[in-house]
Amino acid sequence: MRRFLAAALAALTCLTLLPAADHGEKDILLRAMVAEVVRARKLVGYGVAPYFVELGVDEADNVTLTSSLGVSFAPQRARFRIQMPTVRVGAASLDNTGYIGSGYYTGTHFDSELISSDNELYSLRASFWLGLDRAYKTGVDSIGKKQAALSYYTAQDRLPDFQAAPRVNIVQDLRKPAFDEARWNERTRALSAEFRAVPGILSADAEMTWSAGNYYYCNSDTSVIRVPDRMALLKLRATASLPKGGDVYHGVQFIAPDPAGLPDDAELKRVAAATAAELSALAAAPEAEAYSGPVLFEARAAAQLFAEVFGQELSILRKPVAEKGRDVPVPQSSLENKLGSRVLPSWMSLRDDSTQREWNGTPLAGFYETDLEGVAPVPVTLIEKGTLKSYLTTRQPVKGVDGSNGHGRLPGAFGSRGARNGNLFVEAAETVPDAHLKQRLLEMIKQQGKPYGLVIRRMDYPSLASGSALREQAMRQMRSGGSSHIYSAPLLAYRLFPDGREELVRGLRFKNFGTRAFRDILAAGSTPALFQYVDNGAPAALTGAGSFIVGCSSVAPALLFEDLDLDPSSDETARPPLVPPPPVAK
Amino acid sequence: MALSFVYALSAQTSATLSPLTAILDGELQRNFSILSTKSQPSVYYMAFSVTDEDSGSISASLGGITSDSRSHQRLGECTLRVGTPDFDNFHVVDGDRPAYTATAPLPEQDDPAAIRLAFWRLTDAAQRSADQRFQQVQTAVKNKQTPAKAIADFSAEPPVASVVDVPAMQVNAEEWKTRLRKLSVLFKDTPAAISSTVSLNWRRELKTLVNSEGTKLQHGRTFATISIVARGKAPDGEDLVALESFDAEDPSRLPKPPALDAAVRKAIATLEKLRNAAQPDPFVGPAILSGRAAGVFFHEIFGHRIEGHRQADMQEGQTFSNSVGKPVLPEFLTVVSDATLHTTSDADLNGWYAFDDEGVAARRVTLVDKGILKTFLLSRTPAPGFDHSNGHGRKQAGYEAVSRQSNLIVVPANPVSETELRRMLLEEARKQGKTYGLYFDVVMGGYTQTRRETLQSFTVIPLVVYRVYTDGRPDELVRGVDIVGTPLSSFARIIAAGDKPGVFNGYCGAESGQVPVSAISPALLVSEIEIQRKRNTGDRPPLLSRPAEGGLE
Repeated sequence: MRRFLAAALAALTCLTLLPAADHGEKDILLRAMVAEVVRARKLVGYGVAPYFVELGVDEADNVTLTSSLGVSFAPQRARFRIQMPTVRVGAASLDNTGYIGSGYYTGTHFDSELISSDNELYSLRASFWLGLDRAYKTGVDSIGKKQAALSYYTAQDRLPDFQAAPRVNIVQDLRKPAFDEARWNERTRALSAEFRAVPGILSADAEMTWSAGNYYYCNSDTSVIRVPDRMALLKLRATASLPKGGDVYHGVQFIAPDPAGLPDDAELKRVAAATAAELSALAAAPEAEAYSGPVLFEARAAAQLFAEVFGQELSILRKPVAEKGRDVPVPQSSLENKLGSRVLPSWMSLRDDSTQREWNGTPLAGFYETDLEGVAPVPVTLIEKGTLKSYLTTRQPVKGVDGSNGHGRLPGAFGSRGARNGNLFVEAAETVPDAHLKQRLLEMIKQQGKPYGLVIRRMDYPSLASGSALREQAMRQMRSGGSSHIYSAPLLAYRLFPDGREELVRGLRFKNFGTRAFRDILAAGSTPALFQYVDNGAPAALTGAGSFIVGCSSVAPALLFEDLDLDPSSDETARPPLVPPPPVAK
Repeated sequence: MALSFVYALSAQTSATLSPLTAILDGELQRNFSILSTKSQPSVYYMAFSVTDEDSGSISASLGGITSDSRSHQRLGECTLRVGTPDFDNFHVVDGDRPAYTATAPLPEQDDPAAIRLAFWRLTDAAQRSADQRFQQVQTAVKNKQTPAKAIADFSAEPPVASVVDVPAMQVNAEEWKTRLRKLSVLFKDTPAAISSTVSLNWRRELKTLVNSEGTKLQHGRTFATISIVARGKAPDGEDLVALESFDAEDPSRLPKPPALDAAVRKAIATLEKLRNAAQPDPFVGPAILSGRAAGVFFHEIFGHRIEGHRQADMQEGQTFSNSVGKPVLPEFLTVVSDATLHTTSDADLNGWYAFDDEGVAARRVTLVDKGILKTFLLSRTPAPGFDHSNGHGRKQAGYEAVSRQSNLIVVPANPVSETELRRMLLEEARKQGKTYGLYFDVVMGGYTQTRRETLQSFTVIPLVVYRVYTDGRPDELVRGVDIVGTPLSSFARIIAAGDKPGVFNGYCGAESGQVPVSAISPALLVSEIEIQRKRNTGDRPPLLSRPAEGGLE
C-alpha cells in the first residue's frame, strides 16, 4: 500500500505542474470534440435550436487475465474509443429528456459508437458530426413526443429538466503505470489453483482486469476535461457441489486505482486460501432456518449493506413523462420525497465525499475528478443525525436538492445520467467496542428466549450469483408480496450461541427488507471497515452484468439491528449428478 | 463450368490423437460407461466437441482505425441422446426443436483436470435436460397420429478418425492497419458517402470432436474477409448502401492494394450513381440475375427447402418432401452441394469443410440431376427415404446441428454467353410487351420463410439493379427495390443460364446458428420476376455539412 501511495503522490505532483504546459490544445481528440460541439450549436434544421451540447469519449484500454483452477485462459484485450454525444433542445425548464422514449431514434443511424483510436482529426470530426447529428434528431423527436404526451394531462408544476453547473477545465497527464502481464497471469493462475483441494470443487476463477482508460469531455458551456479513468480489479469466484445436490458459491474482489495498489502476493494467497476454506465450510454448513430477531453486521458487511441500500436508494431516478396508459417500468426509491424525515437513528450520519483520495492510507476507489457530465463532485451530507438531508444528484434536478453534487456517474436512462455514490462514510456519534456488540446480541437473544443470534460477516454484494438466480429471487420476492427490488443475500452468516460458539449456515435471504430497517439500528462498533467495489447499475451490482462500471467505496462500523426477518432460500435442490466428478486436485 | 479443386496444402494429417482429443475421449468414455448403464432412460449416444476460434478484426474509417480486436476462445459442448435411435430426446413434436448444448469456455492449455471437470459438468447439464425432454416427448406423441411410416431420429454412421492441424494465421496487423487507413481515406472526398468503413476480419477455427461411437476428429480451416461499406441517402430519404467484399482462406490470398483501391472507387461510384438513380414502380417482368445474385436466389428458394430435417417436420412447408425422382427444376439445370470444394477459378469458397459438425465426412452430392430431385441435404437426422447423412449436419458453437447448405452449385447443361443471355432478355421483354427487362447485378443477401404458418416466400435484397431497355437506350441504374416471390412459381420461370459462374460467399443464419456458405451459379434468365419497393425511413441526411478538413472553424 505504501508503494502505491508513493506512486500516487508522484503522479499528483506531475498533475499540478502539467496545466501550465498543456491545456489540451495539442490533443487532437479534444480539438476534434470541441470543434464539433461548437459546430453543433448551429443545428437549427427544424427550427428547434440546441441549448446545450456535450460530448464525452470513453477511451478504453483493457486487459483481462483469467485462470480457472490453476489453468489460464487466453487474455482478453480491448482498446477502443466510444463517443457519448448529447444534444438538449428546448430549454432547461422543459427539454427532450425525461420522456419514456428519450434517447430512442427510429431513423437511420449513420453514426457509430466506435470512433477512431488514431488521433486522426478528420476521421474523429466526421464521427462526432454524425453522432451529434443523430443526438440532435433524437432530441427533436423526443421533445415533440414529450410535449404531446404532456398535453393530455393537467398542467402541473414540474421540476426543470436540467440545471446549471460550474464550468470545469481539467486537462491531466495520461501517462500510465506499467502492467506486468506475465506476472499477473501467473498470479491469477496460482490464486485459482488454491481452490483445487476444496472437496466437490466445480469451478474456481481468478480474473484480473487492468482498465487503463481515459475520459474526455467537452460541452457548450466550454468545459473541457481530460482525465485518466483507471481501475485494477481482481476477482475470485468459486463454486462447490453440496453433498445432497446443488451447489454453493463464494468469492472476493479487490479494487485499486492501479495494479500496484492491489494486495501483495502473500496477502492475496492468504485471502485465496481463506476463501477456499470458507467455501469448503459453506459446502459442509447446514441449511439455515427462518430467523427473526436481532442481527449483528460486522463492519465489512455493514459497509456492504450501506453501499448497496443507500448507494441505490439515494440515487433518485425521476419518473419519465409517458403517454396515458403506457407502462413506465421505473423502480421508485423508497427515500424519494422523504427529505427531512428520519431514516437512521439520531446518532448516525451518512456522507459522500468523492473528493477524498484515501482512507487510513488506502486509496479510495470512489475518488474521481468529474462525473460523466463534467461536474466535479462535492462532499455532501446525505443523512445528518438520522435525518435525510440530500440525495446523490446529477444535472437532472431532484425535488428538494439544489444543483448537481457531481454524482452523474452511470450512463442512466431517459436522456439523463444515473447517480451513484463515490465514497460513502457511515458515521456514528456513539460507538461501543466491537466485542460489546456481540455481548449485547447475546443478551438480547437471552431476553427473547432465542437459541441463537445471527452474525453476518459478509454480504454477497456486489453479487456473485448467476443472473438467473437473481431473477428467480426477484420473482420469489414479488410472489411473497415484497417489492421486486433485489437486495443481495448474506454470504457468510453465523449462528452465535450463548456460549459464544459460532456456526456457519448457508442459504439465508432477507425478507421484507428495505431502508425502514435502518431506523432501528441499536448500536455501532468503534472500528469502522472499508469496503471497495465496482458498481454497474445492475440489481445487486451483479458481477458481470452491464458493460459500464464505476469504482465505489463505503466505510462503516459494525452495526446491531434490532429486528430483521430472514428466510431460508426456498430453491429446489437439483439431484446430485449420476456420474461422480473427475479428480481435480493436483 | 470450370471449377478447380484445390485443397489446403498446409494441412497435415496425423495418425496420433492430439492431447485434447485424448482428454475428451477419456472423459467421454468415463461418463458414457455410467450413463449408458445407470441412467433411465439410458444414454445411447454422446459427443464432446471443442471449437477453438482465433479471430481478429480491424476497421478503419476516413483514415482512422475505429476498431482493432483479437479474440481467442475455446468453447466446449456436449451433445447427448437418450432413448433409442428410433425415438430419442431429439424427436420433433409440433416443430419444436430442442436444444441441450450449453457451451463452456475452456482454458488455453490442455489441462486434463480442468477440461475433464468442464465436460463432466456439461454432460450432467445435458443429461438432465435430455432426460426431461425425452419424457416430455414420450407423453406428447400419445396425442398424435401415428405416422404411416415412422422415421428414426438418428442415423447410424461409421466412426471416423482423423487429426488435421491448422497452422496459426500469420496476419501482419500493422501492415494491414496502414493499408486500411489508406483505403478508408479514399472516401474523404465523397459527399455521397455519409459514413464508410473498410474492414478486415480473419478467423481460424479448429474443431475437435469425439463421440461414443469411436469418432475422433480434429479439423478446421481459416477465413479472411475484406468488406468495404459506404452508406448514403437518396434525395427522398431512402438509405443507400454500396458494398464490396472479398473472401479468401487467408489474408495473403485477398486482392492486392491496387485491386482494393479499385474496389473502394467502385463503391464510391456506385453510391454516387445510386443517389441519382430512378426509383421504379413495382414491376413484374423478365430479368437476368447475375451469377452472384442467382446464387443467393437459389440459396433462398431452393437450398433451404431441401434441408433434410424439414422434410419430416409437420410444421414445415415440405415443398419438395414428396418430389424425389420428380422434376423440380428446368431440365437444363443440375444442382450440386459440394462441401469438399475449396475454391473456384476466381474465388475461395466459404462453404467447405472436411467433416460436418456430427463428424460425417464432407462429400459432393448431386441434389438435382437435369431437373430431377435426387436427394436432400442430410444430417444424421433421417429424412423420408434417406436413412443416412450425406455430411451436411452443421451448426455454430452453442447450437444443435441440423442439415444446412455448404457450397451450393448450379450447373447448366446448355449455357449461353452473357451477350446471348442479354439478347434473350430483350426478346422476352418484347414478347411480354415490356419496354425493359431488369438486370440484377449485386445483391446483399436474402431471406426466406419455410414454415407453414407463414407464406412460403423469399426476398432477395439487391444493391445494384439496371433497367435494360428494348429500344437500345443505355442501361439505367435503379434503386430501392427488393425481389419477392414464392419458390415453386419462380423455378418454373427460369429460361436460360449463362456460361460464367459467379460466387456469393456469406453466412447463413437458421436454427443451428450462423454457418459459412457459398452459392455458385451462372447468370440466370427468368421470364418473370417481381420487385417491390424497399423500406424508406424518409428521414433527412445529416443537417450540417461535413466537417472541413484540417483546423478548427
